[in-house]
Amino acid sequence: MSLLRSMIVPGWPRYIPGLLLCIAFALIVMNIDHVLGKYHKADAASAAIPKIEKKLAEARAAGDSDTVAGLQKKLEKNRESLEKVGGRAGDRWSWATFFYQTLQFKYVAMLLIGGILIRNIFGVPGVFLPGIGIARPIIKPGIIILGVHYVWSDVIRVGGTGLLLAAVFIFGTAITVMWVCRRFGVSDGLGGIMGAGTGVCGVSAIIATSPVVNAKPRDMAYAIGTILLFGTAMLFIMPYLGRAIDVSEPQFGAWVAVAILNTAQLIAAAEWFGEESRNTAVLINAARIMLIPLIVIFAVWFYGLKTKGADAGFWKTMRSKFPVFILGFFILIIFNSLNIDALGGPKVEGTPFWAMNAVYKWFFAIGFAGIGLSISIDDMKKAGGSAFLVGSGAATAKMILGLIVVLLIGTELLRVTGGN
Amino acid sequence: METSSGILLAIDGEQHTESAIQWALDLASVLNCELTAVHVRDPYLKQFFNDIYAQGREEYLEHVDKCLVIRGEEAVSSFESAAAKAGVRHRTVILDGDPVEKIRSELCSHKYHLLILGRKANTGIAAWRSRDLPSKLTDALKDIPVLVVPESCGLRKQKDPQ
Repeated sequence: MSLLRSMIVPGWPRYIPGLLLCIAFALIVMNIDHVLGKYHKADAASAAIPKIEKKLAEARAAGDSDTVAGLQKKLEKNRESLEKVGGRAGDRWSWATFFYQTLQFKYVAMLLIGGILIRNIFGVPGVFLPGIGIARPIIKPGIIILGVHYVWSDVIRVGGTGLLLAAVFIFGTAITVMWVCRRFGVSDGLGGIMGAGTGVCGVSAIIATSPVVNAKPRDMAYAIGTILLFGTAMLFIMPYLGRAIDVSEPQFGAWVAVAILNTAQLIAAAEWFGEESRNTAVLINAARIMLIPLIVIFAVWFYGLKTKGADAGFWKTMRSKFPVFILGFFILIIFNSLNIDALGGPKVEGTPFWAMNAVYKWFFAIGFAGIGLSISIDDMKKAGGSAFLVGSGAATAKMILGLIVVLLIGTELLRVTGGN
Repeated sequence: METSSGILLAIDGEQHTESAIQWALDLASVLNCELTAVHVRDPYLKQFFNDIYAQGREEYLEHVDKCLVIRGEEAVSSFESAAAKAGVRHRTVILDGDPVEKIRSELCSHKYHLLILGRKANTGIAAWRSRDLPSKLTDALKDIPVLVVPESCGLRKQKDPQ
């Protein structure tokens, strides 16, 4: 009984209103996304049907039975898409294509942009704020579930490349930022949190590092504001930039995993760009976040700090700062790699892994609703001081260097196959 | 129970409130009334504790609390020594929460005649970035006079009794 009681979060009722708000927001947006997607598919089908019919007639005349069978299947699929909206060939829903395809206005964008608009134009009453805050980490179960998309060969190839990429960028950024800060007389507290924050995981790293380097509240506010500002800007800029320079989905996933600091934001940007991009980003990010404890240990060493109490020592710091939940992600990868028939796969209908894959988007949607509703322009306005200069320099350098590196690596080394 | 409490002064330990403290001490001295200094510990930074991969959350919250306590103690002790030096009757109040809400509720629960607070000499982007507590309080308080002392006012010299 006492074990059960210890599992209940103290003051849990205060999280309910905000959590319900995020669930309701996610529910509405997912439905809009579904409708928009349906009409976009119908629009594409309506345009494609006459062309397929023409090709089919040509194939029939040429007596090419294989092509005829393939085209008939395609035609059937397109007619199904049209039937879903009760339309006929020739009908157009160009507005749906404009929003869904041209503007890429999918559920991620709707939740983030909608959340930002609600928070900053209409405001969110205080009663919802605790629950909105707690909704963001709901992305975590979604990330664990995504383990069913990978096999060990992906972890070794993409994760290995990603780990190397992440380690070089994380420690390269952290060492450079801490060195530059010390060189220009920035306080150890600010230098430490900016080094960790710009190196790995943004606000998460600042939270892990600030007690260790004894950062001052003003510096923390500057650093968090800067990280949020650049994270939010990149979250919206990078998907469009990626399409403009025509990087492949796996390359984009690796690029955001290197360039965007806040993990929730990078997953949002990658999910927005496409499924392959998300798979690569999540795997590289899993490798990346495991480096958080090492960054804290590096900051302790760099500033010659003496930690005391429960967190003293290498292994104790590793244990206290290690993101334990990521082990769930790797356990699912092991199960998926073992090819156990009873568990099935994410694309094998009616199996446990298929069911898990079907719900991950809901965890993401609730989490993204929490992210959108928590992005406050007032928080970003706090970006300033030396933190802004350091943050802007590090963010720009990482974005440019990250792009060059992923373009050099190429697509195949970054593509998640899922065993297919 | 409501009591008459003279002047309320908002302090945050920042440089720009120094002029406001001096003005408040001068006014309380001239009017011979009690000066109450209020310091609000704003838990703003705590809201980030549950960032998605945040590790060591308890440690972070304890660190923020410790910083807020130290900052509050410094602000209060600086005010108390200035008030004692000026020979003004004074008391201090430390509250936790949103500064606008807490200062407003302190003003509502006691009958203060006046609120005094400082303002940063910000222009351009710095002014846009500022949370501008004086404007928010002036907007929120319709019935109580508010004296906003700009940072640029500088420290006024104590009058020579001779």
